[in-house]
Amino acid sequence: MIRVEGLTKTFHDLKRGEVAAVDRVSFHVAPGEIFGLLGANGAGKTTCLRILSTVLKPTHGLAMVAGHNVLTEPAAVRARIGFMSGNTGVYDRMSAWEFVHYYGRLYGIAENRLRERMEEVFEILQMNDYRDLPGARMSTGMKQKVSIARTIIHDPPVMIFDEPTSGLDVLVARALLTTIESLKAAGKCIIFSTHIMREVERLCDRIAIIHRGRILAAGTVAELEAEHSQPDMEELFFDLITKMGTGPINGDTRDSGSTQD
Amino acid sequence: MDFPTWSRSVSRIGLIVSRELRDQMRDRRTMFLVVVLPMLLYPALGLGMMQLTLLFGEQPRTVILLGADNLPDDPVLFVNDRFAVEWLRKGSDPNRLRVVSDRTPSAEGSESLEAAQVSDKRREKLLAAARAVQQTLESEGAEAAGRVFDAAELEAVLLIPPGFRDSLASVRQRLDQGEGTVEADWQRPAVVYNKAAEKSAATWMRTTAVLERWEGAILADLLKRARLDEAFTHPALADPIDLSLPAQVSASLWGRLFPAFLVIMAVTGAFYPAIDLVAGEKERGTMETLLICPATRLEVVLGKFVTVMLFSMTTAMLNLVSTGFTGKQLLAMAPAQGSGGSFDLPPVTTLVWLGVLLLPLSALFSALALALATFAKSSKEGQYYLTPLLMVTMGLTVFCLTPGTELTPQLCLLPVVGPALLLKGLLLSPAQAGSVGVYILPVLVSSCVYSGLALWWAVELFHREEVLFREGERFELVPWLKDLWRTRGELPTFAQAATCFSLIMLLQFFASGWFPKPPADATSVERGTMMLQQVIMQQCLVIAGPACLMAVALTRNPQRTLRLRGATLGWIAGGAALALCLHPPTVELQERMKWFFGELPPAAKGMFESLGDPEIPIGLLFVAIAIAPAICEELAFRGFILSGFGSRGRFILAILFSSLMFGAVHMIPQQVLNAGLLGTLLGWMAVRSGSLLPGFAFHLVNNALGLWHGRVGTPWGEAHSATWFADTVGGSLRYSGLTVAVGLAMAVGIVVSLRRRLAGCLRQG
Repeated sequence: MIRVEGLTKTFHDLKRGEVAAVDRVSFHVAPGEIFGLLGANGAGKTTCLRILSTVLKPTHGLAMVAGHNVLTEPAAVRARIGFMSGNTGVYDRMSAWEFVHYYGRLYGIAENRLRERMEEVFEILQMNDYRDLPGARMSTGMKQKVSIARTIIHDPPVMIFDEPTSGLDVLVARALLTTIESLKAAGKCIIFSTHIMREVERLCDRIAIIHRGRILAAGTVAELEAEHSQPDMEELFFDLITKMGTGPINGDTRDSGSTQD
Repeated sequence: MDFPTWSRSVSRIGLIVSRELRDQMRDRRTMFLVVVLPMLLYPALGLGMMQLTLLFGEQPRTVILLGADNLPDDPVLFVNDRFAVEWLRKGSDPNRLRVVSDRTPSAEGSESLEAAQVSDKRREKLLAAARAVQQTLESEGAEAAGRVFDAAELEAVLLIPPGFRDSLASVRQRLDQGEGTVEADWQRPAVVYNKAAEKSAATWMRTTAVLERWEGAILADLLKRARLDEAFTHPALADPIDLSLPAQVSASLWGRLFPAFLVIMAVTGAFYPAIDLVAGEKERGTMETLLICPATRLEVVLGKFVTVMLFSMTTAMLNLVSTGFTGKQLLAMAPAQGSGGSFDLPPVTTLVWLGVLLLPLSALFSALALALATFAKSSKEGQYYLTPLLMVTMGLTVFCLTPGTELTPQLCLLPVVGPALLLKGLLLSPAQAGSVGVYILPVLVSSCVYSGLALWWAVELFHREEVLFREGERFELVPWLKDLWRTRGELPTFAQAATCFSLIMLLQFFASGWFPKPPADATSVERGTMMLQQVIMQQCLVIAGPACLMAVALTRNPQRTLRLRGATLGWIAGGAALALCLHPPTVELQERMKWFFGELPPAAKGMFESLGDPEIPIGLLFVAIAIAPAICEELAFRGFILSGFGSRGRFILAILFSSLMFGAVHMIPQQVLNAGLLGTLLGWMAVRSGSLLPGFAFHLVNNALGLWHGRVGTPWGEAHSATWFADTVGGSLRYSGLTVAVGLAMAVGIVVSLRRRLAGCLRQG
């Protein structure tokens, strides 16, 4: 469902020149699977996901989403993904209902079908109490739920969650993770980016640890812990970052893309 | 695009427009600015200004009268410590002008003017200061007197010279006795004031109004004694006959007011919504969500553009309506100002045109505001980026408001200026709309083209990640310069090419002041020689200099950038032959476009005439007019600038842009069109051949032929009888239709041949 090969994205920096935010990254994600992208702040997770959602164009490499190339068929890709980030993107002067309706119409859902689907989604996410509340008066948790509703309203086969629990309290974060689990059960192909180890252990079928734009290690949680002789994810993450983070990154001839899958 | 795709696209644009409109209408600040402000502000502002004017008008001013005892008894200027009532404007308040005189105040009269009196202490102080001004004026001159005047905060001093009363009495007596010649060489009263100080100027105006009436009475008396009619004071001129109708007076007012308001309010109306819809969305983090939905970037930009445009138009219309009614109401309340209180609003047809012209204006401002707001990552930054747009628009508006600025064929093509001047013309003379009506189509077409270009720019920017997702970077000069050096490419960038052109234009502007002017007593030959030397220096320093320096400093391959490569003999000969063939058509085009460009500006005309002097060395003339421009302008425009514009592979656009700039650098409107057209051909040759040499050959031959045409052509035409080829018309050599047609046909043949030659080379290569 998602296939990424040698994906690279460089940016120009005044002091450092060309900097690779994503450097030869490769992985694939199958339907009904949650793939975790784990990394510290600034590791390149968001850039990678922005490329998959066609907001940014890759400098090199290939990224296919639901059978469509992000570079040559961006519209087809956008129609088949749901993207949610920590930044909810909820408009201050729009109610929850209006916001989801607006995006539902942009996704081309017919009016009658959209209303039925909205009733269904609002019921599942328990949002009926504040369906008419404007974004400016919503709590962070409410906004995040509205954002989930916007992400799933068109029932996309691929879903991307970029640090969705950042800034949420435990209760809301837990509800969100449960929703993502139910989406997996429904056969969706999911990429889940985070820097919280517990979420990874709970949700992800496979993970990739990304640092300075490169994938340092990839596999199931159990495989990685065993391979690196670490008791849990936190120790494993810290060990990898400490070892690799100080090594040469730019100019390193090792192909990190070959370390996955 | 097939119909279902197109229909889906329109539907998504509609959805975006409807959301953005609803969002903006829920924003109290926007609604206040667009709706409430115009409805409330102008009436309130109008009333406030009226009150202020009345208050300011009623402020009493003080004039010091020195030498009051020198005033004649008849007619009496000054009585009971004030100017006599008969010299004041009818109905005006005598207390508006206080008079402090050096005559001892009388007891009666001061009671009736209690409000206008000043205390004795202040009176003495003012008189002392006025005397000091008088003495300084006599002993040290105006500059020193001005310092004393300002230090004492005086408003005006009326000096009545000693003997004025006696001189006047003597003249009257001599006139009564019928003496032949009566000299008028006595000293007159004078008002001392400071025009630069507002209060002093106001006092002077009020005092002068009084003195003029008083002087009129003295003059009438003298004329009577000389047995002359009062009308002798105006022996040649009768009172002017004003044929203006009240409707025309109103039209004159609206003609000045409405275009300015329309332009300013259209840009203001686009300003805040554009910032909110782009920079604001980025700041709030909602932009990325929108970009991930199936709507394309073009659809997103169009949706936002339509919204901003609607707000721009609504703001402009509401402001105009409010201003119109407020103005009408205020003018009706001030009947004394001119038209008896009847100020009609413009006719409906003019208002319809106003709406039509608002469309391209709002479209241009909305597209530009959207494009500029794309650079900003927050609303605050958005204001910084958009402020220059506001300032430039205001500058253009002030230009349009300048009395005497009218629509011309050139001005009608300028953005903002064209619509504003057209509207001004339509409002000023609705009955004679036909005279400006010819400009309606050019104004609308050019405005639509500018709006389209601005919208295209906005869409382009929305596709550029480095603009849309720009991170906030602190600007540091040294890292920036290092980066510029480190990242310099084989060819310059688009921005560097644009910077080079801007630099050339700036240097050209300032260079006109750097070069010394020829002395006033210089002969025509000396002036011409000096000017030619300056032309050569200007070409080298101002045009070629920046291009060569930037090529060396900003690119890795200056040789490729400046196209310093050899070319086949065929291309070079082809370039020269093309110039030869195109000479007659370009001369004819220039002549036939005179209706559009008008006559040459006097300075340019004088310059060309002085170059025609046969005593100017032909070698110098050839170097300055033909060789230097051929080298320098080709290096700059077909070298650095064309390479920069074409660095992304868009050669057609690069040729068009570089030729536009090549036209613009010629400054003289008559040369702009020809240079622009020839620039397209020169650009094509440079891109196709990869060398500057064919363009150099073309440029050299073209300018040399121009030189020949101006200096030798006319005498040749007069000496030879070959009308089938050319003839002298109105002192200029004009080519026949046959010559022009043959020239054009041969030029097309050469271009086709060069294309084939190139295709052949490529096949062989």
